[in-house]
Amino acid sequence: MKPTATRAASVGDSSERLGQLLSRCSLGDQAAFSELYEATSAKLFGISLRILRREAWAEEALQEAYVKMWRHAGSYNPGRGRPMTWMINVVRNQSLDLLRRADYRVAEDEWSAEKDQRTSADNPAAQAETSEEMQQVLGCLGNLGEEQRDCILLSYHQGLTPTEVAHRLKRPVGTVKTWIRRGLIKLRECLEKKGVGQ
Amino acid sequence: MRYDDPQLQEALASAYVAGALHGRARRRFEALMRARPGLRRRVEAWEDRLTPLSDATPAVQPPARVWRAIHQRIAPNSAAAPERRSFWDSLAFWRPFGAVAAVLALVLATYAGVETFAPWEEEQVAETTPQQVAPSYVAVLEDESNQPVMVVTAFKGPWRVVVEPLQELSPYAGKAFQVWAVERDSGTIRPLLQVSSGEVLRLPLDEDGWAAIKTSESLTVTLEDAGAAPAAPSGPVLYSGLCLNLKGPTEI
Repeated sequence: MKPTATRAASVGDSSERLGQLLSRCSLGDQAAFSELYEATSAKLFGISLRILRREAWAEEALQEAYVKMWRHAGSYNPGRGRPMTWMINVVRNQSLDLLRRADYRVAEDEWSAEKDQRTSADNPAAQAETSEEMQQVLGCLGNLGEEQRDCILLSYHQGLTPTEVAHRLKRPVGTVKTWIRRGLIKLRECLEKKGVGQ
Repeated sequence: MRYDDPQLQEALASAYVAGALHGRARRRFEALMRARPGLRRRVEAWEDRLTPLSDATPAVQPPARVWRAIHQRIAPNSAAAPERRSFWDSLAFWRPFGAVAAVLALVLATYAGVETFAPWEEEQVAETTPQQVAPSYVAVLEDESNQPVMVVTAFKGPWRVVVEPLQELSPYAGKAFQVWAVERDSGTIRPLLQVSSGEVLRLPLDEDGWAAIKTSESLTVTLEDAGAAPAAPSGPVLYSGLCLNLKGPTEI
């Protein structure tokens, strides 16, 4: 089979569809799982690749994440929110887990950007298609200082440790940790004012 | 620092979801989250807040071999490939207790209303003065696929602990399953005992050991060198489970 990419994440109808597919997966419906994979794998691979920056690693993370989704499809709680939120966090956690395993850590030193042309860095073109939810988060991030915002985005998108962020921004690690902590609190307050996340 | 502190919980949950919690801190937080539904809810709220940030991440088509590999693993008739699993396989945060609840119910039923007779304790009862026969604390430890692996029960009068493996546990030569107690308030991890076979293990507890169980939120197991316990876990958490107080007010 040849999966095709969709933008399921940002479409309400698709959200309902993904929920239905997950329910069918929990009953052991492999056709539903195959459809779920087709609808979401390109998005999730992109997210994993952004964190891991190596295709081979992202492939492994993706594989592990989907096997988990299959096994635990029944534990997705439809009342909780978008199915895509659940799926994205499964793949994010899998990727962060992989990124910090010791053997991968060693390999990272040997890696350079040129070796992987498909590195998924921040892509300005992609900013064009953003969901309403994303606009709200970005709006609130816009209220933070530039460095606070950078710290949060580097952690979120690339899984950098505070030490790595500090190195990147040439700031003390303690400062970076404080920025992240306070930045996230401000972000929550801002989103709550907009009625998001509560 | 107390993990009951809402501000600390919120800071950890947000850092966890934001990808700013790493290594041992991340694993410890995950163990803590398994034991604390409130913490899990905070994490879910943060996932709802931050996940829209992923909306603009460019989609990249994965190679077809990824699907083939996944399909091979989930198809019931395919030859089961040996699986490499991590803590995250459990996804314990999104599921009810399941099999663990069943084992726990069985353990509790064994002792329900029983003050004078305890099948597990027969040998010991004979050789000492009256012992408490119902446990004060029980933890059902589960593996990454949520299957109960061992039951740890702690008794007082005198203090002792019984470890009952529910499946064959055979560590590599020179290795043992180290059981740790994760302290309720501070998250401090203290070594409790080592298990190296599938046999039921009965050990007396000293005051420190009793205190470790009494103040623990959960028990976890890692694979360590057999012999003296290391100061801290050196590998990933293999099994873990809530430590339940059966006598006093139950804290979950």
